[in-house]
Amino acid sequence: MAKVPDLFEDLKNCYSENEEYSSEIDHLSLNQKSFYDASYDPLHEDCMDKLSLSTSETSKTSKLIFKESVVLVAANGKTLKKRRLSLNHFLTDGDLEAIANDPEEGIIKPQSVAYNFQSNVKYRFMRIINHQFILNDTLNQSIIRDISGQYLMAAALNNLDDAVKFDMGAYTSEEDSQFPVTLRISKTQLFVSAQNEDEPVLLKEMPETPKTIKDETNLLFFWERYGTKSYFRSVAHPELFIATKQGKLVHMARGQPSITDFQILDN
Amino acid sequence: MQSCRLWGVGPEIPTSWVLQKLLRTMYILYTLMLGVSAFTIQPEERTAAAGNCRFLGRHFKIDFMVEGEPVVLRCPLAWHRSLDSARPHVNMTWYKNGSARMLPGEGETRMWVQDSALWILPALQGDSGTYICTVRNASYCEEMSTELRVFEKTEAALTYISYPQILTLSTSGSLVCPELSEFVHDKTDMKVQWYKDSVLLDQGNEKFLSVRGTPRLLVQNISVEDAGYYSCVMTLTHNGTRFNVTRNVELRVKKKREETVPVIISPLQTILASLGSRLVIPCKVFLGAGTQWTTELWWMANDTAIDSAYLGGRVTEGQRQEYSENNENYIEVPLIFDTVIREDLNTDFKCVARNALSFQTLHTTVKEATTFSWEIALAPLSLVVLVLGGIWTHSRCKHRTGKAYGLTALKTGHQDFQSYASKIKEIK
Repeated sequence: MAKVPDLFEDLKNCYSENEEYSSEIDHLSLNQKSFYDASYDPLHEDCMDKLSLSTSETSKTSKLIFKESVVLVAANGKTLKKRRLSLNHFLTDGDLEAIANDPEEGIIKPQSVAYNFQSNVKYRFMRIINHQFILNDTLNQSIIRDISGQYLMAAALNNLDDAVKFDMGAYTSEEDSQFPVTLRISKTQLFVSAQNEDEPVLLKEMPETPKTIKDETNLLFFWERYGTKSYFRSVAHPELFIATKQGKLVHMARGQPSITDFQILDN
Repeated sequence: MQSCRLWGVGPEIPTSWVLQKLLRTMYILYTLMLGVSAFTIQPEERTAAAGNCRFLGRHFKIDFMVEGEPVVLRCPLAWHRSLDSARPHVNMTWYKNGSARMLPGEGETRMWVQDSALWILPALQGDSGTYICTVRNASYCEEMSTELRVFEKTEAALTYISYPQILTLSTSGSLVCPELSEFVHDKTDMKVQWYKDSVLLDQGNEKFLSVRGTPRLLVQNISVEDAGYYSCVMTLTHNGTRFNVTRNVELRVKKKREETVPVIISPLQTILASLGSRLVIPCKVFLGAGTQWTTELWWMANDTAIDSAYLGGRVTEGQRQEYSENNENYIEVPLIFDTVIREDLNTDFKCVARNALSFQTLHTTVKEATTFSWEIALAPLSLVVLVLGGIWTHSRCKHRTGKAYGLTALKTGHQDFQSYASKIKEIK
């Protein structure tokens, strides 16, 4: 068991320069969607050797941690890779060789989902579907307001009453598969507004909840859910998600090294 | 600190003598107004200029710490100003409330300022109190207070000093040892030991796995019994002395909200209605054990939202109702017609249900309930005819039998005239 992280230690040097290895981010979390969304270049040959060697060395002593189906699905819905890992199942050298030599096991670059964003799409307000909830990132930090009150930031709290409470407004459009929502700070008219990549999200004051949104799509986010994790993809910039990062205000990011998955904590 | 020399004032700039004089005068006035202390920070005493600082109030977050351990007080203004203490024109100072002396005091070995944060090592209960950090440069001066409470290491303190973290029942998740960034230089070399109820969770444990090089504790298949207090400990060496950095986490376990595919169970494909009448068509969705809050339900008319299709409000969507029957969840949204008109008969009404798992639709049309049809009109009429016909037939039969009886009486002559007359009258 103790040797499993060594494998990651060995592989650190195999990441290309633009791929930051950060232990703060949940590289080990199988349910983090952004892990699958990232585009990885195939590893160098020597790294592949190191991978098979390291796993072979540890295979007899390492129990797998997760009992989970790992399924990688392309944008068109075709299953690219499927593997069931079961608890207490020992990987044999034979298994590892098969995995290493299987051409299907190559790292797949997922296609980005094609979004159709004409300016004539109208989003109609339905109702407030969730009142006074808290947003926590994967470091269990809650979203709070910075001291200027203009921005949001993430912090570990002793008292969850100090966290910002949000209301989620549901919208509909002709696009069946999406779930557009607004995030408003409870008991205010301040709405979270998406900005450009790496820019902090703003809190925009609206006179009332917009009944229809056509041009002001910065206020809208596609709420995506994977297990217990929630993601907020900007309607205005569909490649960007609401994200947190240590030492940064809540901002818009494509994925790692920022944290884009959140947990919704109901009151 | 910023240089006191004003840019643009000097022989190298070819400006008129009058303009130079004017600029100098403005500069002197500006300096007098602000006071020299706004430009230079006195190393020990809190100067009068501090009174000119804009006090931004108390930071909401209270630092709860355990005595004997390192404490790092972050200046909330450092965040706000994205401070970098290396910048020469910004100066940051710390004071304890009620004291004019800057921290750390002379000869103070337990306190120092590093990267705009005040370090206290080790912290003592007497260090509890309100600390004020001041940020200033030539153009502004702001200050904000933050509170520190240092507790004795006891079970009673746990409720105050612990960080609540919430994981979902029957899933796998991770607890995170919070607020360690100041103590970690090489993140991959982070060594954190986790305890539950003071018992070390060792590497052989299949339920819990401390992930090396990270502040995480993986928890497998979370159960209600896993809730409670955990502590994570990291060691820090300062001047050859080892100190523990302890954080307490309270794991709260929440039930998973099940989401199911919505099934629209009503309305029927055709709804009968009379023109001019009021009509309510309920759209009812069955969710089983699934949660109701993430499922949206609405009506459309010819693929247009109801409020857009009927601006006058003749047809509206009623209030959404959520209810449960036998532990099974339902949602209902009615479509309300004030008056049904002929136009409605040619309209495609659609009930739409949507959640993360599915998008369901059910179409319905309004058909005219025939108010006058010959079949309906003839049914009671034919019944009346039958009844009348029956009565008439019956009376005819009775009339014939009566005549025959009268003739018999006359022939035999057994009855007197009166009785005969009454019989005749009866037959008539």
